[in-house]
Amino acid sequence: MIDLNNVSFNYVGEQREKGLKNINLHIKKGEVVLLCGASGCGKTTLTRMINGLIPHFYPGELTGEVTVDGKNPAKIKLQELAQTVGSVFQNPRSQFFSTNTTAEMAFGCENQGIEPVIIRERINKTVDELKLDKLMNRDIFQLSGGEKQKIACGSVSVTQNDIYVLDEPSSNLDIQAIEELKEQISYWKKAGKTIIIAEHRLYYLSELVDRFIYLQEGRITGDYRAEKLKKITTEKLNKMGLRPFSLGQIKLTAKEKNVTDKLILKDFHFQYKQAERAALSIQKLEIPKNAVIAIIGHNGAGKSTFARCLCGLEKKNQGKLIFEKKALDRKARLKKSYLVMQDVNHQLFTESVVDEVLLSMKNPVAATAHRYLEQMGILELASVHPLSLSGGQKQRVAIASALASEKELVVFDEPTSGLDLGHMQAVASCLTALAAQQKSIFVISHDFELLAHCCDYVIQLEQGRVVKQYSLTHESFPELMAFFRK
Amino acid sequence: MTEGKMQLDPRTKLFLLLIANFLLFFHLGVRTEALFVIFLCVLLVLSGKSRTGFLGAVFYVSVLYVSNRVMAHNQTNFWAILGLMITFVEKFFPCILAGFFAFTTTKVSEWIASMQKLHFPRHIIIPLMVLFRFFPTVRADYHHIRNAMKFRGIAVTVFDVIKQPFLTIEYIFVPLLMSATNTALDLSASSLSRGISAPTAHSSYTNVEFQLQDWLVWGSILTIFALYGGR
Repeated sequence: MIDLNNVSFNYVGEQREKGLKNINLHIKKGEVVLLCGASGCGKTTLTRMINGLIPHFYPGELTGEVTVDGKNPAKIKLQELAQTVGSVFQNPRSQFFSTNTTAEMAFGCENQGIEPVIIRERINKTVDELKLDKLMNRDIFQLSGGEKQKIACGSVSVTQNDIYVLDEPSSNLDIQAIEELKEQISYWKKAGKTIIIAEHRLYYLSELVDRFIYLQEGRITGDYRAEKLKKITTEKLNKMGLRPFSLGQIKLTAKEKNVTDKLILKDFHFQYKQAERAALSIQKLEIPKNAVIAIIGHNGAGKSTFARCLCGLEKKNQGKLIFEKKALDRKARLKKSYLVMQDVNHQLFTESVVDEVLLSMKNPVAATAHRYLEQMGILELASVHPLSLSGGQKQRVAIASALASEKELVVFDEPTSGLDLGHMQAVASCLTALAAQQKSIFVISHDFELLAHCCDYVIQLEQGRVVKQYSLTHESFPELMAFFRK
Repeated sequence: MTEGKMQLDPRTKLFLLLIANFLLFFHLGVRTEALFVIFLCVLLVLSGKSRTGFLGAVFYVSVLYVSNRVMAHNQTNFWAILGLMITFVEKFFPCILAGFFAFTTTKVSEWIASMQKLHFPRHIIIPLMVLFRFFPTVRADYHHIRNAMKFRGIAVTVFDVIKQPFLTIEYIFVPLLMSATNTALDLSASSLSRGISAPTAHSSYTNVEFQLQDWLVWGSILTIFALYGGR
């Protein structure tokens, strides 16, 4: 179905994605192939060769021979290839063309000029198969990330392609949404589709994948069949820089510590306009100070609302935070806290990394700014424009700015979405280091592995209420695992 | 869309918008204008926008009433200026109402489908689609950026913004453009991989067709003009 013979590719210009070297890969019809490896290993590049975005959209030097369903993607137009290959991308926010879900599902077929009657039939079929009826005819901007990704999968299903290419589809999803993504992929597998997935999270795919391709610096260095896959030990995976195949293999590595100081939250209530029930309703909550605190819960449990109220972003929230014997109201909390956002692009304002840090400082002194950069391991990037950094580096700049502003509460919103093992571990040790510097760290995360690496305390929310809270120890660890494995 | 609500063809809504503008530029008498506004209000109610419909009608009638009373006073400067302002509101109201009607009761896909029916070229339709798609994105980005600025202590209060308007704008625009560039790249890759560049005829799943109610609207409007136009 897909043949790559001695293919090499180099991007032209400043591209963060790495090229490929001497790739030989033959994928049979109906195979489910997982591409994995550390960030920048070339797996995304490989998906782009198959869906034709290379060389049509991303220009570069391409040598060797690519054949997809008997055709050479470089020689035919993208719209022709679109009839054979359907793609789902990493970011649910930016792969939509329409503003309405049903219109989005029809988009691919409309481009092929298919009769409206047939499009309707196909949409109805897909809606049945993938259970999308609740999402039909909705405003896409009102959907959650998981729901958006479902619509993305639904839209390519409607085009009835033979090959599906998914580039890190689970990056921005929570555990429930990942479960549903797994069901969609397994449906395609049953229907005999050829599926290629580039992914960091491996656990949800371990039962579906027939073949596992490991890439390092643009080369294929491992090609395993499903049977062999199960024999790879966690230690070996760790060495390969890969996430585990099963959440059960994750071990608690965060060091237990005794914290005596406390933060107390009082009267944290919040209700959105036109909402039936309160998004957040906490009478009193005692949590350890200067610790790494995980906020977990399913979609809509109130995690983000909690973070927004804690940081003082919600004006209607009347809650108080007792901090070092002082009761902090909303404005006082805003001065004491810092939110590292999921999309770090929103919080970088200046022309160089060092300016970014100086901007946060009460007394801007370059030497001190450099010290913060050194602490985050990005000193050599001091004069670089933030735009040219990788996602992980941008995140570090944002954290350095938080340090520079001398804030005591730092909240992280999904800091490891789409990160490989190495980068995830780097974030984990960064969080631990911050807590050691007398900062209280809050982490909203669906990444069980991250929490196992660095968390001291867990708060579980459900319908805006705290349903569980416990120190993370070897005794309580199974409880955390149970939440993620259901 | 939803049962029990009247659906008009987007072309009819455009026609209403054109008529409203026509009324603004050519004076056809208060009676024609009033009939047109009341007609629009009825259409709003029928299309499920009852609140706006009723409020619009009440507001317009009050404006007409006040305008009459003010005109009777037409002696001093004060009354002249007030009269001018009220007339301004009175004249612009039909346009605002027609615009509101057109843009709140029509989905983007319906606009696109009617543009295709009217044989607009692809190189006009596609940028317009992207534009519609970008408004909500930019709005969401803007809120995130304003929040991020609060944590950095940049332009937190209204006073800060007034004190340093240009700096504030710069701090909003840099991340906004950065984010928009990324979105645009992703969006292009995604839509190209779904065959948007096909030069052949694109079909449209969204069905827009003239129905009885459309003919009735066109008929009523033309009748109003024939009977009262020019008086």
